[in-house]
Amino acid sequence: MTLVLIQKELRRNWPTFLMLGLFTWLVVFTIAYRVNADGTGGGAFPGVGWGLLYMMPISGIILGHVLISSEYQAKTQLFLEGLPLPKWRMITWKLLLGFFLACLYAVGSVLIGWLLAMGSEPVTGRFLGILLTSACGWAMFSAGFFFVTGFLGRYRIIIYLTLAITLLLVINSTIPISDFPPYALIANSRFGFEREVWPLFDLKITAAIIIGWIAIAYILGLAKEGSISSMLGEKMSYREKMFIGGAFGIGLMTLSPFLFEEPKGEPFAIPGAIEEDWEGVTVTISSEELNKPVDLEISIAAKLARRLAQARDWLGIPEADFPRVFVVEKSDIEEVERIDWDDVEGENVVLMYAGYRQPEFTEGRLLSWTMSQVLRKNSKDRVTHEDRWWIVCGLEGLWEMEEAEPETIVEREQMAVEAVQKEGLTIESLEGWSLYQDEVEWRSADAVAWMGMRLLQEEKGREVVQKLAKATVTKPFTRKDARAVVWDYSNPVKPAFEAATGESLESFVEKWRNYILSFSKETEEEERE
Amino acid sequence: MISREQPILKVRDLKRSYGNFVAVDGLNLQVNEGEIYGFLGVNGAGKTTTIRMLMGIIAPESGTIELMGETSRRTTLKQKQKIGYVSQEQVFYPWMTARMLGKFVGGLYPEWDKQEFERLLNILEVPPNRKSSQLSGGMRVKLALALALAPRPSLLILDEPTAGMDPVARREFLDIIEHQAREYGRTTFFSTHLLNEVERAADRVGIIHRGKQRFEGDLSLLQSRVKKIKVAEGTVMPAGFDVWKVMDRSPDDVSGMQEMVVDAPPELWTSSGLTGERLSLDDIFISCVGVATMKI
Repeated sequence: MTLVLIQKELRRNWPTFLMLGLFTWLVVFTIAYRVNADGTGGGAFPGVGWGLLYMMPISGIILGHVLISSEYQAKTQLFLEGLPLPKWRMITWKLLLGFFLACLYAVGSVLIGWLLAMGSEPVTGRFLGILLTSACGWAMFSAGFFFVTGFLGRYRIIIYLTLAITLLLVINSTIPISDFPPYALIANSRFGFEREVWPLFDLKITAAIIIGWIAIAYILGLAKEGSISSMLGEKMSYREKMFIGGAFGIGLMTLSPFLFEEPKGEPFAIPGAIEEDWEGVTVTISSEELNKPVDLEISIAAKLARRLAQARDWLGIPEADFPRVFVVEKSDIEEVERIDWDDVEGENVVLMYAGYRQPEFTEGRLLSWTMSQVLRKNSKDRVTHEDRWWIVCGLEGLWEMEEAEPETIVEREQMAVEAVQKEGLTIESLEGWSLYQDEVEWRSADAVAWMGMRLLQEEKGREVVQKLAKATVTKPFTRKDARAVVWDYSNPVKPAFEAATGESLESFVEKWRNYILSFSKETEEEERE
Repeated sequence: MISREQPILKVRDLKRSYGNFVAVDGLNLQVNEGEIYGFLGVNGAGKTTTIRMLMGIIAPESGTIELMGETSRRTTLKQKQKIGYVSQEQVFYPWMTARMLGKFVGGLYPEWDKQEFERLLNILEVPPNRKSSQLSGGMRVKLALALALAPRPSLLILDEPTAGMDPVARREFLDIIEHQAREYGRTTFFSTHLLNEVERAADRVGIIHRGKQRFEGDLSLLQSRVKKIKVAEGTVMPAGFDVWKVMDRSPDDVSGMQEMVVDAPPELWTSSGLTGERLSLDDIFISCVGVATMKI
């Protein structure tokens, strides 16, 4: 009995199901590919999340229409009810088939992300599990909702329009929608970034909502022996269409000032700030309080501009591409850092916060972190890809340690030693640098990277480091299109390292690890003995 | 095993309302094995509601349905698998061919006979590979009949199957029904508002009006029970005589006599000494449902 129901749906709708799947996967692939190429979204998986965010509701609308609404619109449920087939069974199999297809599209989309991430991002079983459960949770939520609306027949159009307007209002509001499940499962701040923690709370809430949808679907399908859904399934009259169209138009016109408010297009600026230029590098600095002497600001800005210009030339970044740098005093940043940064959307600007009057502040760190933000901005985030982020971290260390105190250097060396003793250092550590940073704590990972660059500089000279940097973290990453991905695939880090240094990365990592371990206190004591 | 002359369907005090409207009100009926039962009533009398209750599509508010020896409040799935059903409106999946429909419907009946279905399509001249949307109204009813008969049901229920058919198609269809019933001893329950269909095909008839049963029995019994009489104005009818309709009198009529249609058992007519005029089935039906002034 079950088989004929499934066969009936597949025989009738297989082209729709197939085309919907292909279309979903094509859209997800395009977005994920673009986000990956763009480098601003953190890799392929956040792109998959974006794709699923839009495509699962679209799939849900179509599945709900094909499986539920069309049955009632064509009145074929009258034919079914004359057969020895309980209504609940008919509804159950339609829901199960719909959920299965929605999950199939979601799983396929995650696998597309996996294919795109291959070679640039490590994908553990746990990470994949988190991605799949989150994607399927969102898919089932969307499908469940649109199955319910499928039972509402002609009135579902009103629900869709109301929903669209509400969503536009919410998106344009300050409501933190990404904190609420089920949206939290697929939100761009989490999907593809969270690797370790299962979103259990979000999944539980989503499951509860899905169960709610299923219950409502059964109530609508079975209430009054299905007569309600039959009545709602009648086609909309001309008068109803006109009324709904008119109401929607009026609603849209009324709400349009709130829906389509354009952000102000003024260029980013800090009025009254100190500005220093050095060979095309502009540094603007602003203190927390007005009416203070600005000698310190002038000094920091001048020095930073000069050193940024040197680093820019050393890396070969064209002057025109170099972002404007803003430094804003902020004294309440954590003691160990004293420096922070923020993104300025849509502008070629690096915005740094620094507690530069605090004792722990160092100009070297401000330079190195500003430079890494410059590289990130300049490469449209592509340098943050795991396989090459360690190079940026190493360069940061070189810049920071140029003027560091000897005790800071020793302290940093010991951090590297402890990290390597704890988690080792292998090619996999470099390829999955974010994971390595999580495992050993990011400051220790930075110390490891710095020691690597220092070793390379000591062994092969500063020119080789420069050659490696130019080959891997500066040009030609700035392309904001698919060419960057092609470049990535055709210029992986390992051969680039070998070309720049004349040594394989594998053998260098071996030396690097031993180099770090030679700074351990035990080794030093043994040598002394 | 149910023997012949035994009831295959027995309905007791069946009731169903839609809001304040009582569609079926305490209906009783009995269909015996092997007979053709005509369920007669005007539009809106409650025929379709009764059939939907018999098919388990809707549940009765009260009353019982005894089908093939099993009594239940609502027809079960197992009972439904032994019933062939042709609904009033033939809504098939338009993209399915007759053969596809047979395959789909066959999957829902354990005793589906594929050869029988093919044979029926052939006999009824339904093209097996034509989409249902391309079939004429008459063809669709024939297809529905083939689908209803292929599982070799114990009971065939037809809800106004000839509605919308032209007279030739209607006659052809009734021939098929009759042939199926007589040849294979298939119990058939069919509803109609057309008296001539009942006259032509039914062994027994049940008349329903405003949700209540007005008569059940064979047609010859009906004619021997319901007669027109002429009595003095103000005459009180003896017990057992049920007045169905009192005729309107002409304003010029000063005779003091009143014509009426009365229902009573034949033995009561004999014992009471009253003599009534035999009526045509048309007249009996019209006076039963009281929808028009008769010119008798």
